Amino acid sequence: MANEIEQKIREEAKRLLESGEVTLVIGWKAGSMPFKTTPAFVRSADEVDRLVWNPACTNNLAVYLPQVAKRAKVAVVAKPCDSRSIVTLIQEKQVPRENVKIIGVTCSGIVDDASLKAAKIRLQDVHGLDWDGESILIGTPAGKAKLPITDAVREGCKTCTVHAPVMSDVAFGDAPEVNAAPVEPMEGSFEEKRAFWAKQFERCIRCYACRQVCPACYCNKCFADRPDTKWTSKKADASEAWMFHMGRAMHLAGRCIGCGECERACPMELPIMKLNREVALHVQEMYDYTPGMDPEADPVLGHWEPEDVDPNGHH
Amino acid sequence: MPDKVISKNDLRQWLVSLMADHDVIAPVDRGAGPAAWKDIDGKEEIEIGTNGLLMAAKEYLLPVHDVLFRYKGKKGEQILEAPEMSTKPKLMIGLRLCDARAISVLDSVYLEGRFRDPYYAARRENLTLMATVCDDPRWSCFCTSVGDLNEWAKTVDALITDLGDKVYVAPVTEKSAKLLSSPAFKEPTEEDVKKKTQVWENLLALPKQPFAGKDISQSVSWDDPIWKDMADRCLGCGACSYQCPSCTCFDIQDDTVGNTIERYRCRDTCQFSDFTRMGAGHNPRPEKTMRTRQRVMHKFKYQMEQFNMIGCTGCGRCVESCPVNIDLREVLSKITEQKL
Repeated sequence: MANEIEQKIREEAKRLLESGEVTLVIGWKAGSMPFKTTPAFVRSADEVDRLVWNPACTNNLAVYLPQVAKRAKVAVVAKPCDSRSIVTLIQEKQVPRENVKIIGVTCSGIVDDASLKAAKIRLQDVHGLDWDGESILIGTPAGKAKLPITDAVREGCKTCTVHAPVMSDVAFGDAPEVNAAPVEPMEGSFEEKRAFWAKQFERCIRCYACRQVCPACYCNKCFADRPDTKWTSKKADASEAWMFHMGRAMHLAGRCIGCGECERACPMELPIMKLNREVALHVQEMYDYTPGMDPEADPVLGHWEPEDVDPNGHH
Repeated sequence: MPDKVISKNDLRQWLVSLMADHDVIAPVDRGAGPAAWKDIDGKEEIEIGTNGLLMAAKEYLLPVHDVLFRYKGKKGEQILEAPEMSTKPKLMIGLRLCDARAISVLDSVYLEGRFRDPYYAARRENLTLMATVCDDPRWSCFCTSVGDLNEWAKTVDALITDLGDKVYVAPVTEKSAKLLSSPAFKEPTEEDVKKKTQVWENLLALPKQPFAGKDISQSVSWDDPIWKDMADRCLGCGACSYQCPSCTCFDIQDDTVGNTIERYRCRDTCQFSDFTRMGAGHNPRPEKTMRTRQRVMHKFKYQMEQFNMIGCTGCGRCVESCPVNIDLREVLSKITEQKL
């Protein structure tokens, strides 16, 4: 049975498609497993009942907008994270605001394979997943397990402070009260951190799932795909992977809104968000700037003022 | 060839003793992510169970970075150097049965076709395969829907089953039986035999997918609307094919380090937008629909036509790693239900 927010999403999608305001609604639909959803591309009003909303709606759907919303009117269902990515895309002139109808939903955190496993759920045993707004109910052969959403969400969701969409044309749900844990900077000396990352990057297979799933990684030609300049070669070793991931983290400085999709998508379980969170902390500290909150704001690293802090201490 | 059992404590000792005249290739835990295939030195944590994530066997046979040659140039002196390949007999232990099947697919591409790849051959020749029977299939597994495990079991040299504190070893070939001469190998008890039979039967009982037993190569079609459905969602990463045990596409690149040029083979995938784009700019698959179609058609039609076997072993890695949950099982179910 559809939950209340799902029902509202469907009604709004139906209205937008029937009125011709948009030709496409991007949302989530049930995935191949109870703990999965998959992006839904709804093009006719009689298909809106496929749309769902639950804590397994992991994908940041803003990733599709630079491709589909440049020349067509589309609607997109947006969690707070997704809405912040859309803000960034509008700021960076990748998506015209007037082409996107944002159907916002409030969010108390997202679950994925890794977070469910961390909550001691055996994924092969899950035959059903329900959500009552506060807890997820997981059907297993041993009966229904009730898990408070706060216990099952991704690590990144535990430090999240934005539980309502920052920009939307219509928004559903009440913003939940969640006590966010503080974001901790990376511990250890320079050498320790260096050793830690050298070890992590050994696993990278350069599949670029992190990049492809990221709404902020929209470059037509990524620096990693340039055989002419070879900023980083296709050689899958720790040093080349280092160059790619550090390059990506730098390019995301002041732009990554912290949805954590890159880390979720990584089949090698690289803790990519540790890097992005660290960069975000520095940007916050140096420029008092949080990305993806204000479409009118200048992108922090695309803008210069004489009194800007120089990280090296001189002007 | 009698079956044997060995305690887990003795297993490591036995592998270390084999290292005197063998390369022993085993899955090694890396703390996070799938276990990696390593030519072990005896000190690593070896994971012969198959329930965790495990890289496909191609990680050893077709390394992500495979040096073809090195060219060193100094004034008046040029040296062309082939990489050193081990000529020792090799034992690969702990691969899944689906991954062993994938080696049959790789063989048909790299050894048995018009070309014989010397780098692949050097690793593949004299390689003994001891496959682990999965005792707790993952949520993504569908091996029994794309093949006959009893047939696949004949392509390995031994089957091993994890019995908790000990490991059951059932040799299939003389080559592997000869390796079991250590006194650490004991006769299995009746209980051991019962347990390993149960594990095998449980694996064969893995629920079948709707497309099981159907001829996918006859159902799959060039203009199926499903390619568009997949292309809508697909983000164009390489997680599916880089993880796939039987995807074989590669790129060849040159890197310069100091005065040395290294030519190497690395992964490539039909899912990347610039895959096989020509130097002059022509791209044979400019649309995403063409790329999502290519991967499925290649595995289930072209490889069937070329090698009389499908290029999918039901390992489920693409199912688990797809960031947008394009589940190959659903794709195949839809393809076959429309046509048959």
